[in-house]
Amino acid sequence: MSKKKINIFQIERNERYDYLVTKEQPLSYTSECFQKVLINIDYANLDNDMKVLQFTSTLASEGKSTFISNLAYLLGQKGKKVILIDLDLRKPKMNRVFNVTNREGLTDYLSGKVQYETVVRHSEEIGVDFIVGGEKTTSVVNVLEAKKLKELIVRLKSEYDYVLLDTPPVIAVSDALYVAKLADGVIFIVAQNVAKKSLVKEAIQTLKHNNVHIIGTILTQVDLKNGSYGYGYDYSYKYE
Amino acid sequence: MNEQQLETTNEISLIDLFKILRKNLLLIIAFTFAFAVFATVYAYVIADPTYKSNADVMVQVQTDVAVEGAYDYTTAQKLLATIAELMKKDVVLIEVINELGLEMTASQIRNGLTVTSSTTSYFINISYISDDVTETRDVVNGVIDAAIDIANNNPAFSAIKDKITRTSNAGLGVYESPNKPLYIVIGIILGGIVGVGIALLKELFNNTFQTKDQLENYFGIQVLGVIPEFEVREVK
Repeated sequence: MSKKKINIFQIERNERYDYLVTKEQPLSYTSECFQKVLINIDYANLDNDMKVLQFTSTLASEGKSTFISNLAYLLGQKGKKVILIDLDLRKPKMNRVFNVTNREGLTDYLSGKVQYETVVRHSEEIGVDFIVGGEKTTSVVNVLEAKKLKELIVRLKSEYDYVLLDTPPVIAVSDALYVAKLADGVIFIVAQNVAKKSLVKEAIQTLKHNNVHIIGTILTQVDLKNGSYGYGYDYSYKYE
Repeated sequence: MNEQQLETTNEISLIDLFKILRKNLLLIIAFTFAFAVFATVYAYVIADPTYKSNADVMVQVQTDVAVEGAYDYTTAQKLLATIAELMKKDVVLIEVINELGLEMTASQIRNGLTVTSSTTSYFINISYISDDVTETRDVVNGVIDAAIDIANNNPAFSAIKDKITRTSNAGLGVYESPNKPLYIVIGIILGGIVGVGIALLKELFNNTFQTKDQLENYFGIQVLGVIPEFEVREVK
C-alpha cells in the first residue's frame, strides 16, 4: 500500500520530467495551483531571508522533481534568478528535466574535475540555471558534507535569488538531513495516496529532531476527477 | 485548529460518501457484475430445477348417512390436523414408496412434502417438490391414495374412516425453482452491497493523506499548495 497502486484504469503517472505543465499549459488549473504555491512561499518568506530552499519527501515518486522544475520555471518567469541543484546523487533526475546528460555535474565540480563556470549551466527553454548530479559516487555522504559544497552554496546564494535543492526522500537515506544543514528551509512534498501517514510522520519527525526548519508542505498528485477534492478547490484566490 | 474545526473535518459528509462511491465506481460495478454472473450461472447451470405438484382432499364427517346434509363440522375441523399429520407419517409414506417402487426413504419424501390445512376450511392441500416432473405428480397422488386407503381399511385408524374425500388430482409437476430472475436480482443487489462495503472499507483503511486539511491538522505545518495530478498534453 505504500507505493502507488497499479491501477489499469488509471492513466499512468507522468514520468516525463522534461514536460513542464506550467509552461505547456499555462492557463490550466494545475498551473494556477503552482502560482498559488509561489504566492504562499512569498508570504512565508516576507523577509526574503530564505534563499536556499530544499525539497524532499517521504518516499520516492512523490513528485519532487516535477514540482521543483515547475516552480523554478515560474520563478524564472517572474524575473527571479534561480538555480536548481540536483542533490539526489543516488537517483539524479535533473538531467532528465533539462534533457542533458548527467555529466559535468556537482560531484565532478567537488572533485575538482570541472570549474564553476562549467558546472553551472543555463537552460534557455526553462529560463533558469542548473547543476546536475554528475558522476555517481559511492560516498554520497562525504560529498554532501564537503566543505566545497558549502562554499558553493554560499556563493550561489550571493549570486541568485533562489537556490533550489532537490534531495532524496527522507525515509530511504539520510542525505536530506545533511543537505538541510546547507538550506534555509525545507519544503516537504507529500503525494496523495503514496506514503502512509505514519511514514510521513516519521519523516517529518526526523527532520524536526534535526532542527530542520520546515517552511511548509505541498500535497501533490491530487486526483481531482474522483478524489476527495472538489474541482475548483480554493479557486477564489484568482480574484484576491 | 480548535476542537470544533477538527470535528467538522473528521466528519464524513454525504458529498464525501458520494465521492468515495464515484471513485470506486469501477470496483462496485465489477463486484455487482461478478455477483450477477455468479447468480446467473448458479440459477441456469448449477442449481437443479425442481418441479411442484399439488392436490387437495376434503374432510367431511357425516353424522347420519340417511339424512342428506347431516354433517358434523366441529369434528371435521378437529380431524383436519390429524389427517394432515397422517399424510406425513411413515405409515403412509412407506406405502407410497412401495406402491411407486421409489428408491427413497420416508424422510426423504417428507422433506419435499408439504401438507397444509386451514382453520377456516375443510380442505387439506398436499404438495410435493422434486426434480422429476412425473415423480412429483405420482407422489402427491400416491400420498392421497395411501392416506385414504389406510383411513378406510386399517382398523387402527377407524376414527377417520370415510372422512377423507379426494377433491382434485395432481397433474405433472410445474417449474418451481430456482427462480432465475430473483436469483439474478439478488446477485446484483448483493454484489452492489459488497462492492460499496469494500469501497468504504478501503477508504476507511486508506491511511494516507487525502486532503490539505488532513495534512495541515496532522502536523500543524502550513500547506503551501495542492498540486493536482496532470496529464501530459502533446498538442497545445
